[in-house]
Amino acid sequence: MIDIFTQNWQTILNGFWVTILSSVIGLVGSLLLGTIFALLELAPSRSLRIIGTAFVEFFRNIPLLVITMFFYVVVSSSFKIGGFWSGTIGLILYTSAFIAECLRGGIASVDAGQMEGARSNGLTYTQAMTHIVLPQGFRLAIPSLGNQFINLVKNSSILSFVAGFDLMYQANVISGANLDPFNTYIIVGILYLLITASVSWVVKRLENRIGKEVIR
Amino acid sequence: MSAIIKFKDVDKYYGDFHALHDINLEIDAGETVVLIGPSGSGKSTLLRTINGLETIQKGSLVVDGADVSSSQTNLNQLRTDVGMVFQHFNLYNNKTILENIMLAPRLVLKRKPEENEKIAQQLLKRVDLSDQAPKYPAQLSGGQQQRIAIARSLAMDPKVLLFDEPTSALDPEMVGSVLSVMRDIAKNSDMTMLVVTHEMEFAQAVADRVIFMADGRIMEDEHTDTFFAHPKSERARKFLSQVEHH
Amino acid sequence: MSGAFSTSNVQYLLKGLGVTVGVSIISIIISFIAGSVLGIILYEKVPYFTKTVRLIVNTIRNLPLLLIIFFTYFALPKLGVELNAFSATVFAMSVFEATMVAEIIRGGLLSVGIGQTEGALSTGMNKVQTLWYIILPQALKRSIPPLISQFISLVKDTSLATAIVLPELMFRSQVIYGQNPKYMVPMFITIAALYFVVNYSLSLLAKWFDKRLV
Ligand SMILES: Nc1ncnc2c1ncn2[C@@H]1O[C@H](COP(=O)(O)OP(=O)(O)OP(=O)(O)O)[C@@H](O)[C@H]1O
Ligand SMILES: [Mg+2]
Repeated sequence: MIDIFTQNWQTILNGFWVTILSSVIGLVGSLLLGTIFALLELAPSRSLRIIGTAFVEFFRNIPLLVITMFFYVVVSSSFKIGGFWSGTIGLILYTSAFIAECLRGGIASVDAGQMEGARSNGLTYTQAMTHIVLPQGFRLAIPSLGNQFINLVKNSSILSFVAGFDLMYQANVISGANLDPFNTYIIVGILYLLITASVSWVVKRLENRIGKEVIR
Repeated sequence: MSAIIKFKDVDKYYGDFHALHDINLEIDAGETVVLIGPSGSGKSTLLRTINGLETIQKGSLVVDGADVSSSQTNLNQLRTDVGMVFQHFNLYNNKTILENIMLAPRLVLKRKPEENEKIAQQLLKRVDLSDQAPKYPAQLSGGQQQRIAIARSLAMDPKVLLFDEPTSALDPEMVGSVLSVMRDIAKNSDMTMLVVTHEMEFAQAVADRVIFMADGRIMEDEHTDTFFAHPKSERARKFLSQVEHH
Repeated sequence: MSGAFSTSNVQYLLKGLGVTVGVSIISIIISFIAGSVLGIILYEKVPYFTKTVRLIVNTIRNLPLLLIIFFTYFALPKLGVELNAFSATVFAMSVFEATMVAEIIRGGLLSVGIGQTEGALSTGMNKVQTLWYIILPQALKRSIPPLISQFISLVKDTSLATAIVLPELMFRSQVIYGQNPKYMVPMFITIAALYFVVNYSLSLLAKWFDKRLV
């Protein structure tokens, strides 16, 4: 098993790096987009709420692979975005729908008095949301957001469908060549576990730290 | 003196439920008015219509020259002039005490940082909590939190201050310190105060007028001394005797 | 009719929907049963046994499903386990989803709480009776909405089996638009709509249970 690694370490590390890169971009992008969707879903205006809900329900209920292939096959024929970006954009759109749901839950469980206090204090809805309610909603949503980030890392394997050169893709390349899928997939599995375990660890720490902050 | 708050034939519904009936009420600038009445009589509702937290369905309500019931009115503007203190404080959980006081002046009034902090520190001193500035709300007792909530409202330099049962969520030994801050504001400023409370001694000592509500209606609106000496309605007499035995 | 929606294409695609639904239903049944057993083991804290199960569950949960599918289809034959694309998909999905179900069931059991257990034990029931008649029914009821969400993921994830050439919906749409690039957009719209209808109906069901249970 060790010799698979020593013989292919460059390929494996390349894939590892692409998986991490795609996950990090996916995380930042889906956090931004998911926040926007959540705010739309909770907006005072009915038409904004409908737009937000439509986006979220659409991307939550179709497979990530359909979104990704759409970008790789249809969108790529007009804009040359390639496998990496097709996969990563797919990841962002798909994950943002789930993040929106987590955040919506978090924001909904912030005490209504926080909004009322801020509005009575003269803040606009937008100011009250950005300075008071949203930050608290984020904290309450951290555990469920953590789960979404782990899913995001696992889902980044979608890149292997579109020649995204991620860890999963490289695993297929290597096992195709050395005809030892058993040990190759085990090594790659260990690397995925390394990433997902690190994410879990960071989320746990974040939870504890924020738990210790006297904020309730 | 001219009225700063003017209710004319106001009705308020929550869905089908008729919460305020035909409210007519004028409050002059600088007055301190106490609002009492049994639970569910509509005191909070009345208070919350004044800064637009609740909308009215009929009649007109003019606060500081602005028609609150009109969709043209800028409620944000109005709320900078009308502060509110809540039963459960509603301090910003994610901000320190100092930030709680300084946030709205910074965002809304664009107050300069040095001036903002100076005013905040003065207010902290006024409510006797200067040493708590860096803490978070959850680290303070209820009474302390309520005094901070009052300071947060005062920082906006409002013309009107609304209090919705500011002491009823507090342990008995905390009540005094909050009432004394409120008394200080009533005596030493020209702010208009409208206070919902069950503290009758406070009402007698501080209020210019007492309004008694029941079932969504104003039953009595009298000078403080007159009200306590000769409550007109049976409902008010009964209510007073219950509160006193409390 | 000819073009993207010729009769033969529509029939071909609908057969794919049949495969997708078939794989989903079988995997849901297996993963529900296996996951419930695992969930009870995680909840009951059997010495050694629970720790082992916990390790296995955590490992599988934290791997990409796609990796498990590839492993099942390409690596297991090295151990003498030869599965066709359909059985390999069902096997991989059942294993993966069972660990997800286990976590949901464990959560449900925990939320029913110690009070119910003590109440039942003090009426003279033994531990197994308590679990079977009192705790498990309540826990299952509470688990329904999150289980349905999980099964929505399962339905979507069947599309991954395209990678091992299982002729399900996604795969067949690719075959059709392979005939003619003009069919691409109609095909994507069609399969997105089909997946959406199936999953959105499931999510409405979850919402309905959610409302009814509180
Ligand atoms: N958001 C709401 N939706 C529906 N009904 C409401 C709402 N808020 C208040 N009510 C009803 O309106 C009536 C008046 O309520 P309000 O809170 O103004 O009473 P209150 O005099 O402040 O009572 P308390 O002393 O208990 O605070 C009550 O019957 C209450 O149930
Ligand atoms: Mg009230």
